[in-house]
Amino acid sequence: MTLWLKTRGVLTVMPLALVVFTVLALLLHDSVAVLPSLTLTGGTRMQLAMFVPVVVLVALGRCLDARLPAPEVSGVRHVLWLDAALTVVAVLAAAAVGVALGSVLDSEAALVLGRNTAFLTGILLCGRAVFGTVAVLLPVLWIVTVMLVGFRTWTDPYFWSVLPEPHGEPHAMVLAVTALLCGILVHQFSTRRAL
Amino acid sequence: MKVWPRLRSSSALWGAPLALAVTVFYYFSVTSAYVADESYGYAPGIVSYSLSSMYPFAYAVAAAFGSWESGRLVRASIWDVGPVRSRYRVAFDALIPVVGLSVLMVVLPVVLALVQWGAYPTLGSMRPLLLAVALCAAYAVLGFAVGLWVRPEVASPLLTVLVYLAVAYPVALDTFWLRHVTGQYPHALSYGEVATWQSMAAHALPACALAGALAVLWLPVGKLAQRALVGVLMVAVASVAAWSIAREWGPTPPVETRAAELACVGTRPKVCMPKGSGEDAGAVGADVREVLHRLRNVGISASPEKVTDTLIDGRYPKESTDSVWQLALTKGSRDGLVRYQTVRQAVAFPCTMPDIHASRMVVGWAAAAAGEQQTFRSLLREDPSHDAREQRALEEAVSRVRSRTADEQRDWYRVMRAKACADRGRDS
Amino acid sequence: MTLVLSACSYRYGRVRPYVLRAFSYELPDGLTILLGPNGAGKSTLLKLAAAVVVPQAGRVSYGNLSSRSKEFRREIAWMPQSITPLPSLTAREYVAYVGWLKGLSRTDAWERAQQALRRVELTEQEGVRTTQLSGGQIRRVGVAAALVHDARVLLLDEPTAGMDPRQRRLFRDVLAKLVEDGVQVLLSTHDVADLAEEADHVTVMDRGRVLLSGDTGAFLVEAPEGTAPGRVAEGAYTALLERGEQV
Repeated sequence: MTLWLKTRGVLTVMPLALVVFTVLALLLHDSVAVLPSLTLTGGTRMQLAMFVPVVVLVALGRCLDARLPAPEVSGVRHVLWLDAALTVVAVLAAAAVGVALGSVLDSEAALVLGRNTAFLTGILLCGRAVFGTVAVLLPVLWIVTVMLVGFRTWTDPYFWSVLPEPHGEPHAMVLAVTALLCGILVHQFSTRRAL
Repeated sequence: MKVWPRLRSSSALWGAPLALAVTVFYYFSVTSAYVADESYGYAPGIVSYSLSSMYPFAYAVAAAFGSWESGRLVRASIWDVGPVRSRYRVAFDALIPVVGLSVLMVVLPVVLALVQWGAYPTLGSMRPLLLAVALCAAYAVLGFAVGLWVRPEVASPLLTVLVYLAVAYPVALDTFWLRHVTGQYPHALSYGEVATWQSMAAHALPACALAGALAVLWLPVGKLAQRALVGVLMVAVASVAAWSIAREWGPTPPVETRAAELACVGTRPKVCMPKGSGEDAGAVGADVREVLHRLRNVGISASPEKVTDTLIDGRYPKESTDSVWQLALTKGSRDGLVRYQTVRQAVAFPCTMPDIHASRMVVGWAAAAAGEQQTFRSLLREDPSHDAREQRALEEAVSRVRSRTADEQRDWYRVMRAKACADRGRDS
Repeated sequence: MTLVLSACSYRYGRVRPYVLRAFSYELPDGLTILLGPNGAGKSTLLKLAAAVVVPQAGRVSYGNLSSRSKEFRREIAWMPQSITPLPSLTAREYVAYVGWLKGLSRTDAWERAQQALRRVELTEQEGVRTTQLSGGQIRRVGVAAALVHDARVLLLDEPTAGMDPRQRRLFRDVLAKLVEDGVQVLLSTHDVADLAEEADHVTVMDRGRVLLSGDTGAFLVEAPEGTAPGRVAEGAYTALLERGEQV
C-alpha cells in the first residue's frame, strides 16, 4: 500500500492541503462578505468559509488523477477501494479540523466544514465521471450557484443549497452523506470502465 | 489559425454558455430594474451600475480559463516544439477566446442597459468599461502564467476562488483604500457624476503591473534574475502608486460632478433640466411659472431668476438661494410633484426649523392657492403621527383663511411666517 | 494452457461501430507478432486479452481461467502503447508499483523491479523520476513493468518505439529467453522487417478481421515474386492487406 500512497502522492499533497485548509479556516471562519445575488436585493451575505473546502477538493482531485490507468485496471489489487478510502479519510480529516476549530473558536461556520466538504466531494466525484478532470471546477460552480440563487432571504437558504445551512440541520447532513456515497460509487463504476 | 478552429479548440467555448447565462440572468434579475427606475438615461450611471457586480465574475473567468489554456499548451509540449512564432504570439492566440469571453461578460450588460434606455454612451461613461476590459486581459495573463507552472486542474479552481474573493471582498472592509485598488469600481455613479481617470488608474495599476511583470519574465533578454528584479520593481512601484492615490479616500472615490448637459428654457425663471432625462423641460417650466404667478397673487413674493434640477449634482445637491432654486425637477416631474415642490420652495421661513403646526397651516394655504391641496393632503396622509381628525381640523382652518380677502390673506401670511419661527420651541 | 478469445465483440461507447465483432483467436506458443494498419483492432485485441476491457459479447480465457478472475490477471502482463510517467514515481517505484498491482508483496515487488530494470539496462536510471526519462527509456520502463511479475503471457503494444538498434537487440534477446522459458508473447508492432525473422508466428489483422495467422514461413511466402530479399516481410504484409481490401 505504500507504493499506492507514493503513486497517488497522498503523503505530500494531502498534508499540505490540510494545513492550508486549517489556516484558511482559522482566518475566514467568521468572515462574511456581501456578494452578488440574483434573488436578493443588495446581495447575499456569504460565509467565506464556504470556499475553504475547495483546497481539499483540489488536492483530492490531484491525487485521484495520479494513477497508472492500464496496470490498475488489469491488476489484482482493489485500488479503487483504496481511492474510496482516501476520499473518506480526506473528508473526515476536514471534518475533524472543522469540529476542532468550531469547538475552540465557537464558530458555526467551522463546525459545518466537514459536512460541506463531504457534499462538494460528492459533486466532484460524480462530475468526474461525466466531465473528467475539468470536473474540479464543479464544486466552485456550486458555491457560485448558492451565492446567486441559493437564498430565499438573507438568513434563509433553500434546502438544496446545503452549504449555508446551520450546523445540526438534519437534511443537510443527509444530503451531504448521500452525495458523498453517490460520488464514491460513481467513481468506482466509471473508473473501471474508463479504458 | 482561422477564427472558428481557434474558438472551437478553446476551453472558453465550453465555459461560455454558463458564463454568459449568469451575465444575462444577473442583468435581467437585478440591473434592469435599476436602469428603468433610477438611471434617468444617464450613460455613466447606466454603465457603472451594469458593471458593478460583474467585475469579479469576469476577472475570475479570465484567470481560470487563462490557466487552463496554458496547461493545455504545456501538456501538448508546445514549448518544446521550438515554435518559430514568438512565445507571446502563441500565448496571445491561446488567450484571445478567453479574453473575448471575459470581455463579453462586461460588455453585454452595458449594451443591454444602454439599449434598454435608448441612451448613447459618452466618452466619460466608458471609463469603467475600459478599466474592466483592461483587467480582463491582465487576469488572463496572470492565469496563463500560473498555468505554466501549476497543473490546470489545481490552478483553475483555486484561481477562480482567489481572484473572485480578492476583487469582491474588499468592498466589505473598513480599510477603504483597499476597495479602490482591486479592479471593482465600487461606486454606482449618480446623475451628473463621471468616474475620474485617477480612480481608474488606482484600480488598474496593481493588476496590470503584475501582468506586465509576468510578461517581462518571458523576455529573451538578460538573465532571469534581472528580469525578475524588473518585474518586482514594476509591481512594487505600481502598488505604491495605487495606494498613494487611494489612501485618503473614503468609502466612495472622488468623482467629477455636473458632467451632464443642461437644457434651459424660458425666462423669469429660466428652468434648467438635464438633457436626455426623458422629461419635458418646457412643460415643467410652464408649471413653475404658473404656480409662482398664483402665489404672487396671494402675497407670496418668490421670484427666482433660475430653477435648476438637483439631479445634475448627484448625491451632493447644492443649497437653494433666493435667485437660484435647486429642485428635484426630473423626479418631481415623474411623480407629478413639480407644482408642489415649487410651492414648498416659495414658502420660505426665516428660520431653519419652523413650528410644525404653523408651517403646515402656511404650506396648506399656499398649496390651496396654487391648486395643489390634493397633493398636500396625500403627502400629509403619509405621516403616521398625523391622523384624520388633525387633517380635518387643518383643512377647516385653511378654508377659513382662504375665505378672507386678498389683503387679509397677505397679512395673515406675514404673521404666520413670523409666528412659525417664534413658536418653534413648542413642539421640542 | 493458452490464451483464447471466443466470439468476442467490442466497441467503444454505445454508438460507435464495433471494432471487433464475433472475433475468435487463439494465441500460439512462442513469439507471435501482430501486424496491421492503424485502426485494425490490434490494441483492442490486446486490451481484451489483458482483461483491461470486458467484451460486450464472447469470452476471454487462459486455460480454464476466465478473464474476470484474479488468477487470470496474475498470468497476463500487458504493456500499453502509451506509458504514463508520474512525477511522484522513480523508474524503480513505477515498476514495483505495477508488480504490487499484479499481486506481488511490497518487498518482492521492490526486489523484482530492480531485476527487471537490470534486464532492460536501466539500472542507472532506477532512481530517476519517470517524468525525467526520455521516450525510449520510458518504453523500457514499460517493458520492465511487464516483466516484473513473471507472467505466462506477455502482451506488448509497440514495445520498441523510441529504442535504438542496440536496445532493440537487447530487447529481442530478452524476448528469446522468455519464449525459451515457455512464456507466450504477443507483440504488436509496425516494425515488420526487424521482427519477422525472429517470430515464431505472425498474425495480420485489418478492419477487425484476421487476414493471416500462421508461422513465419506461411507469412513470408505471401510476398510477390521478385521482391528484394531485404523487403520480403514488407512485401508479404502489403500483399495481404491489398488482398484483404479486395474481399
